Amino acid sequence: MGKFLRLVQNEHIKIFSRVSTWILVILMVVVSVGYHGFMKFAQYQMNNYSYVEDIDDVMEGYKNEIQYLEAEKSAGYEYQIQAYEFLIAHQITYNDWRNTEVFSQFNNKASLDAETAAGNLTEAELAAQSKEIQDNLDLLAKNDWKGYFESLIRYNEGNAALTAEEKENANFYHQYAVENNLDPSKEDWRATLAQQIQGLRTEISTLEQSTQQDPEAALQLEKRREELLLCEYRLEHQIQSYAQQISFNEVQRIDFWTVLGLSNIMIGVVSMIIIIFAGSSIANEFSTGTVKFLLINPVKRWKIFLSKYVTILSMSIMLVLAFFVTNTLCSGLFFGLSDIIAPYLYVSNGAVHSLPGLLFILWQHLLGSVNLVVMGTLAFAISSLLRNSAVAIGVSVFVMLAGSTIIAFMSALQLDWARFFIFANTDLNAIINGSSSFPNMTVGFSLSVIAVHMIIFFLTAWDGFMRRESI
Amino acid sequence: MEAVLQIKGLNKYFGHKKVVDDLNLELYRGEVFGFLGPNGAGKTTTIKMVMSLLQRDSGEILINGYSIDKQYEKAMACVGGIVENPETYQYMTGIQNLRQYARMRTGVTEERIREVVRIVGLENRINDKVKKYSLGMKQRLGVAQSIMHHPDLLILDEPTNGLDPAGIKELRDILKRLAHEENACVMVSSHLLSEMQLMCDRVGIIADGRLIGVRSVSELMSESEGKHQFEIRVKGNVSAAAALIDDKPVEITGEQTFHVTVANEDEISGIITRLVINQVKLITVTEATRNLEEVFIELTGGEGGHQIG
Repeated sequence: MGKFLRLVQNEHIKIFSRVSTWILVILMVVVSVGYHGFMKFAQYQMNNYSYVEDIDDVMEGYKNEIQYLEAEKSAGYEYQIQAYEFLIAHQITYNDWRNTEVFSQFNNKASLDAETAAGNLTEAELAAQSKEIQDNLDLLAKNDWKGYFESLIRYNEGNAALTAEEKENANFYHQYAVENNLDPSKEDWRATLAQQIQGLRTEISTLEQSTQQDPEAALQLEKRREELLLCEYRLEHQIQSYAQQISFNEVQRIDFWTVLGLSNIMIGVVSMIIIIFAGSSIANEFSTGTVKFLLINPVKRWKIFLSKYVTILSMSIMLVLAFFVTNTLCSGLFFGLSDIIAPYLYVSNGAVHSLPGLLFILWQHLLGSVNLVVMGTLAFAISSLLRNSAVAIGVSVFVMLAGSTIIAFMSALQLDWARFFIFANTDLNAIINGSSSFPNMTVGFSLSVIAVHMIIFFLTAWDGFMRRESI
Repeated sequence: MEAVLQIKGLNKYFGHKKVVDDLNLELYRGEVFGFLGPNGAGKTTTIKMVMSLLQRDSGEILINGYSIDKQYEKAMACVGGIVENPETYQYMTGIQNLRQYARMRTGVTEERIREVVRIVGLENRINDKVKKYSLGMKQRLGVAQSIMHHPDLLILDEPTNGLDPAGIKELRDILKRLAHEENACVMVSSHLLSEMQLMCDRVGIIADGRLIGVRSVSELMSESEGKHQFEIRVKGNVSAAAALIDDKPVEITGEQTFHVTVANEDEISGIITRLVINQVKLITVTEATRNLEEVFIELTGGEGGHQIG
């Protein structure tokens, strides 16, 4: 055992005393820094993209709308014209939070008039409701958001048709905003979150009423419930930024955790480095003749072989850890370290659990390294079999790049047997999330497919190294 | 005498070609053994099989009595050597290379590494990267590597390649000391007889994969004594010049050259005088180095000589 460890030590020294190794490590750091620089640029672009309204243009637009409505004379157009006139009178732009509220008040007015025409209301009711709408519009005109919100709350509270729970749901955002003094004209993440919670609650109650047999809808409901739990947890614990499983098209906000959570996509550079190490490990010994230097020692061949493979595995882990540390540092450097203690949140069995966020990112990196170890083993096998590093590295890189494309292609053609291919199984992150190329992939299945491939690669490499001819 | 290396009935084919043919050999402690043969005779193939770098087709190899199949690690622990070229990692320094090797062996201390560096005379350059070494320096590093664990059997394949005359002499001294003072067995392969004569105690000659004779160097010297051959180059009529020397064996070998064999080196001056007096335009007179083929034919009385090629 002692001697075996010394062999492994030798292999590590060989790798680290090559200049090319350090060039590759620098390349890895450059890729990480480049990725973060790009994200920083994207963040800058995102923050500066706010459309500045020209008040005169907006008012001109409203006037055009009024002309259009007058010409069309579609149902209820008078109320819309009144709404636009109100907006013009109080200089309320599109981006103003009051914009939608004004329309909603005039909608109320329209339905009130309809009810009156149908004769469903008493004089007193009509008077009370008309006054309420007028009061609300006055509050909007004065830009008294608190008064307006309180009025809305009062209205819902007084609605006898709603249950206590429904009242609470309907009032959630306004209640929260009033309690925490969140002015809707100023952006605050808590207000957004509270609005989101209110929206989710409404959606869930609608889904609950409509979902009976539809499994699709049941799944949707389950997803919404989890989202709601997460949002409520965040609001309760005041967590703005948090680590999460995220994909590129879900990005809404670029911050420390989004960038770090996505940094895993650059892991290909680490795979490339490992392929280079693995592809040259045995082949270079043969091409420089140093294999003789290794084999004239009182060490069995299989031990030398194994020490090389163990070294590839240990280098894989070391580089992935180094990549993780580099990414974390870069994210901290570019986006600030203040969020670093934020947790990773996930929902399981109807409850929200929290883990240290960095632990989750580390776990994500380690899952991403499965593909890397498989590709490293492939390169190692070709290197051992053909004893030619250029071919080993070239073939493995090609396979790595083409593999995912081929799988995407086969998945698009719905060739279901392609799920037995190694590349359909190496992205464990996607499989755990349920976003894999083929439906209903399980981790157990993927691990078995990976194991079979690894055994084939390993035995090929073994056989190649143990053959004693042509040294 | 204690046999360090025993080779019994060794055979090896490359495809259909038999490259080692029923080779039997025993090497002993305290001797420097020369493994002599022309290029392609099977020297390196044999050495590779002894070092178990190459699978053999049949036969048995024992080192210190350990079979290289059944007791591989024990057998190989007694061996050190260089096969073909001294193999080193070019991107490491000399001392790093030696440490790599030491870690694969048991019981080699840092002091011992320093000691072998001194023995081969590389102290000044040992911290340089090997890619900056000359062939001779690499050869010395290879020797340092192969002796550091005090091997009982040291096998060096063409060790004088790339060494200057001073280096060759140093190497010779190192090998002799190992054999005669440390009681190791040293096996050296070469295609140069002259080198073997100075270095070795015994010489085995191999041709076309067959071991065709083992002689001690003293035997070899006495056998070839009294036979000196000179090549004489002249301008003009070669046969006329050769005819002037009627009392010695003469052989015309080219348009301008002929060979004369004399029993004693002193006799050549008489021959030169005779040629000059007879107006022969003499260009050069050189001692003809006899090739292995001729030595072998002499040693074995012509038997099997047709196989050398």
